[in-house]
Amino acid sequence: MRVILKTLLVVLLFQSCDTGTIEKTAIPAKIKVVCTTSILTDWVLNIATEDVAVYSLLNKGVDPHVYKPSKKDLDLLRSADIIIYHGLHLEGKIIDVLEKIKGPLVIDVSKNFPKSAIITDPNFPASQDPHYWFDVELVKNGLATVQSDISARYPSLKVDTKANLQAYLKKMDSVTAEVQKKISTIEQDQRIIITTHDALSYFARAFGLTVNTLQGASTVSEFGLREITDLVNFICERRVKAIFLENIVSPQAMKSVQRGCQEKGWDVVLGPELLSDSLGQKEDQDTYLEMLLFNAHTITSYLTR
Amino acid sequence: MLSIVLLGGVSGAVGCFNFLQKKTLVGETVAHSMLPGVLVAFLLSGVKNPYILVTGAAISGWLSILLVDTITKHSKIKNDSALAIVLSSFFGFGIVLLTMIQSRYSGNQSGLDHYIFGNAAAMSPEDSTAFALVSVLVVLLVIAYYFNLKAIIFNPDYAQSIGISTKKVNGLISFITILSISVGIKAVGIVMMSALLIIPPTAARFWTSRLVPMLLLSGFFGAFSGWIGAFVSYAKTSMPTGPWTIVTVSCIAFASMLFAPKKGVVYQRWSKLLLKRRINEENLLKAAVQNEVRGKGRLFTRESILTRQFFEFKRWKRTIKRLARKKLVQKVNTGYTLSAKGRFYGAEIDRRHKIWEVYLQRRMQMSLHLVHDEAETMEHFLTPEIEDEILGELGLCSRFNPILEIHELIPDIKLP
Amino acid sequence: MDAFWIILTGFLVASSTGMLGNLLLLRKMSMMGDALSHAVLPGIVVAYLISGSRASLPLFLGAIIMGVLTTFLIQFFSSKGKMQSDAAMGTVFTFLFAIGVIMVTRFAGEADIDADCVLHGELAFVPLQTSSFMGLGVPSPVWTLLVLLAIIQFIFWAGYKGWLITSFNTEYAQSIGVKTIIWHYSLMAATSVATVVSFESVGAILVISFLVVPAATAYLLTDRLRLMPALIMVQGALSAVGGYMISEALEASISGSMSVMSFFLFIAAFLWSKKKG
Repeated sequence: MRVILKTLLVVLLFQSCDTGTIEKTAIPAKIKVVCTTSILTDWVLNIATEDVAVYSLLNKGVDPHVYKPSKKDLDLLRSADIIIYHGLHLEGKIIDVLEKIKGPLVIDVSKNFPKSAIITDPNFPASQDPHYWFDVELVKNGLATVQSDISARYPSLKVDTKANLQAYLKKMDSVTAEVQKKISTIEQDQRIIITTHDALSYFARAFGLTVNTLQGASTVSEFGLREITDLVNFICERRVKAIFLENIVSPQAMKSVQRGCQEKGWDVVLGPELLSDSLGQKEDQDTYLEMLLFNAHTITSYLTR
Repeated sequence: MLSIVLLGGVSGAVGCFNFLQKKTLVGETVAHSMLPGVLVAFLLSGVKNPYILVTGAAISGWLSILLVDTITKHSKIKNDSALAIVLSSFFGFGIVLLTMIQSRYSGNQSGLDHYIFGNAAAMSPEDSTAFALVSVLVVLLVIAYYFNLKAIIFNPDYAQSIGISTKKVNGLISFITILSISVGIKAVGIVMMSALLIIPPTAARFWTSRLVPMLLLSGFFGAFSGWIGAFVSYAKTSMPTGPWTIVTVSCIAFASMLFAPKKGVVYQRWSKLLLKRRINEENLLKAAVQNEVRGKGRLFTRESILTRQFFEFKRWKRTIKRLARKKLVQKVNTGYTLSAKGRFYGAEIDRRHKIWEVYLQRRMQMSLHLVHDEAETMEHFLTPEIEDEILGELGLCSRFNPILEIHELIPDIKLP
Repeated sequence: MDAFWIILTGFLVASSTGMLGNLLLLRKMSMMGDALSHAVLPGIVVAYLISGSRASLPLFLGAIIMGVLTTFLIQFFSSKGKMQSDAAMGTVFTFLFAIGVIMVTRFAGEADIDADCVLHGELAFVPLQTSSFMGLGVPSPVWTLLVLLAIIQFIFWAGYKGWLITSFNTEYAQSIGVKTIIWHYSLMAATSVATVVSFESVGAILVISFLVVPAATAYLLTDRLRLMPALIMVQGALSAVGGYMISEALEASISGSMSVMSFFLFIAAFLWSKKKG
């Protein structure tokens, strides 16, 4: 009986879903590039030329920590000419697999990062915070790596990709200027981002904010009552106006922090989800530059109320 | 903090029922089985509403328990295997659904599991109210159906013969289990919830075999651990609440395993040691008495009783020291003598030995050259009551002289 | 060709872990796979702290050592400590996992070191890991699992009589002087190594499933230990093939689909045995 029910359910699902929401450009291409995350895909799309088709393993809004590949992903990787991944251990064990694939050019975006620029836990230098995409300098470094590696393998693309890269970098610069302008409208002592886990350290460092969170960068580490209490005290003392949710983490933790503050008489506002580990789905959140703007806009508007 | 204590208490109690049915790991199974339920609820409703998701989770959790019970009822598969089968299959199905969603809908399903698997430090007032309600409900149900529950768990055949429906009672157990898990998981996550269902009953089991004390003790262990966990988590940084609760209750379980009276390991080892010592002491006394009877005089040493009873040197030293401390022997210059108490005690043992020999010979028709070895063991375990019974059976007077040898006692016994 | 490697890998996992799972089932320790997947966390954390990096090899070794330790603790608590065997498993693994989480939080908060991220492999990506061994283009996990299967088959058949007695009738075995304790601990060691190695190759879901479901299916179909390995292999093969086809059709996880297929076969056996009475 249960078997029948399950099969029915599965068939129903199959019917009700539409196909073809995988990220790709519609241009028939010779060179196939597969990127791991949606953020990476967006960057590469901006550098890519007409001869290049860019695919993404993880779609927007998918948490890289719970990613489970299917045969489709295997086929994608198999047929790839170039495979690009974030590095700094973001993709976990899959990196071992990617590095071993024979044939395609495999690029680790973070390989040329200066060691000093990577944020690490002061107590433990080996643990590197992988959320570097919020630091535009590192992004520029990474994209330069990508462009030069691709050009090395496919010299015919060198000129065009370089041009695309320059154009994109210019756009990035103007966006970062805008972000910086927005952030500077926040009062000095309000420039604090408070979320559940440590995904925005690079953002904070790049734009002159500080971050205070409950958990470290790992989703396995858990916070305890002391962490909640300390954070609540911190927020009330500094009179921080708002705290934020993240788009892949449960709101339970932040809500309880908010409650703690309210009990102490400080009515802190619970802001909406910031984009941290992946791009958003809505129109105004689904590219990298828009992600920066969205985060900046949200943070600013809530902290300048 | 109160919520964790309540959760610990209720889980501890509910866990007992599952523990006694050897379904201890039901928490793991139900928790993993909830994944498909959450996903289906999400697909059908299209939103990430916690209440809808929890309902979906509860339904698939419920289905999983039903499936486990069906499998065990109608086949030779045991409870623990059925749990493992259902866990991996439902979870596998959940992963299938998850990946199907991943490849079609670009995202927005991420973090679904985070919605229902929470952290003990961040429980909300709604969670607390939910616990309170669930606790009350569970307590009421257990009290109301106590008799039926007890019967089905400890004596299923009897229960069925007086008309209690196994199905209904199992259904009740499943119901309170699912209820606790659904509410608990949202607050504290999978592993913590499983742990609270498993460990308190395990600890309590070492202290008692009866249901009511077990429920109370288990509930207490769970609640206490929750309190400690919350306390530690509050007092020091980087000490997550859930894990510390688990560590606390595990320590309680380990301590119970070692030190609980009767079932504890340490206790059993200690009892064995005491027994060994007693046997050694009794053997020594008996040998000394026998020496006296044979006219070897009252003074004895290790060598002089060597033929009767062998003691290797260290054991001799220890045993004789203990006997001296108990005033059963006295040290004199060149050896030892028995005190009056010691002599009496030794003679008792000797007598019991002989009685058993006679019993084996007369009643069990055992041949003479075998009875001695048997009696060597049994002499330490015959109580006065058994003695009297045997004497009665053999038709002997209960006050016969113990110092006589057996063939002096019963003339018609043939010696080897 | 990819399909072949994936199906073969699934089959190898089923055959090796299934054989051990068979013996575990008879000892009421079927949940071992799930327990191990959680319990290895502290081992990984310690390995990370000692090695200072997230390179796979030290973490893998940490997991193996922890796995063996876990199973030994479970066996110890259940035999010497006289805990109910399923409770022993539950207590040990939740305790170890809690210790692991505390360690991660305290000492390594910045790094992502849960088992899913650093230990568990992925069945779908097995064909990509071609090894240069013997120049045949066989993926390295397949070589690993072949060796594992060979070792397990050897352990099983060489000790067949011992397994038979100690699994079905422990008291009798003890009474005729068989050192049951050695057999139990050997099984624990073998299981933990096989499980962690399989985790590394194909991830946790498949291993947990194949540890118990094929063995349970075989158990429903026969009482004789001698026949079970063959049945397990057949069930494993069918699950692998069927599961793969399902995953293709639904564009879903391959491991998950194989688990589900295995379950369907189990249900079929269940219904058949029920009808048989």
